[in-house]
Amino acid sequence: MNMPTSLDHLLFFVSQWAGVTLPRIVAAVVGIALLIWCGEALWNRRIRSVVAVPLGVAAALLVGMALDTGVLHWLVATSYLTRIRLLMALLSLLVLIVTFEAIRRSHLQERYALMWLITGLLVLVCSAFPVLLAFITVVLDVPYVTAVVVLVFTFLVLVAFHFSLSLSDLHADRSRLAQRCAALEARLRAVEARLDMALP
Amino acid sequence: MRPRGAMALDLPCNLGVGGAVQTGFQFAVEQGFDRIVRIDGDGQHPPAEIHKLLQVMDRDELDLVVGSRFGLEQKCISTRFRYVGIRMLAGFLSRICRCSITDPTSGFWLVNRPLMNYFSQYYPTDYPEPEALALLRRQGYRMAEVPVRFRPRLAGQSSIRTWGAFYFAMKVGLALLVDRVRPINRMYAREGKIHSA
Repeated sequence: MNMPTSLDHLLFFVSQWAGVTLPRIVAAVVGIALLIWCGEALWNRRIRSVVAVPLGVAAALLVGMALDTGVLHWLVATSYLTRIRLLMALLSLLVLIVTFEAIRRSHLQERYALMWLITGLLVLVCSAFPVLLAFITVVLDVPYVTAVVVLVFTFLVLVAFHFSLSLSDLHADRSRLAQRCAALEARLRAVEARLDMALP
Repeated sequence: MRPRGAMALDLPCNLGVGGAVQTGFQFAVEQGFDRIVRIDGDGQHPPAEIHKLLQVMDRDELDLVVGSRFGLEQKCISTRFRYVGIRMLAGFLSRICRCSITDPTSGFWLVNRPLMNYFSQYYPTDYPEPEALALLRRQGYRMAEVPVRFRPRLAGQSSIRTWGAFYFAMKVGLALLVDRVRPINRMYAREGKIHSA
């Protein structure tokens, strides 16, 4: 790329500051405070471990980056492809964790979770091994990002279609339940009328 | 079935085997029964062997007795693929439940009243038997298996056909995995002993 993008500007700005002492001290203090708060809240059961663990890891990373700015410099110096792969890996991990928690708390049934888990796993694997998307990138001659978008879009369409199928099925069930309800009420009223006549 | 004098609960929509069996449990709880025996309609489960299940339940004070088709030297599974799959699942479930399970998909169950209460509230859909075994062990209920002589299938087909096997493996595997980390429902746990199995 010839023209610097806004992301490059941001990372350059951050890398310049990362060499200076004061922001590093601030970042280290914030990270340690966050780590302590997370541990205390988890101990007193004010937050769940599924929230506390990622927060704790992020805080630890913040402290680590403040102590050794090599990580930040490495992040700035990475290629576009690596940053995209990192972003995809993080997003797919987020999807997997949220889906798993929803199944665990019985908010989501396994048959609907299946599509989300497959999508999350596939994007995670493709971000780790970009060669798997070679079919799309080489044959269609599109960049890696477009291939990831194609993959995610396909699965989103399949998930949406699965939802439409489930909705139609549930609609049919609802009609049958409502009709059965009406029939039962009519029979009940008839029985009550007969009882009223028999025992005044 | 009604012309022969049996009472039938007619569900207005198809809830699958899990929903149908749960309806039976709910009916039994409402009517105040102490125990319930589940017999499938395809003719495989022999009513003549119910007394074996009752004996074991009385003798060992269990909440669930399962009639297993293995153990009496007979082979009732149609294909070798399913046979191997069921053996693997049985081994895995034996490890989770810490008791010997040889037939995880058998539906020939004798259930006690406390366990009936639990199942009428929480019963898995889609191939419920393996997951139900793991769940009830986690809540602290006690179970055992009894070898029983199954009869050949008279009517109907197995619910697990060719592609169904993969969905079965995936669904049961995922459910068993998630059930290990699910919170234990204290309201429906067996009094006296909670197994953190």
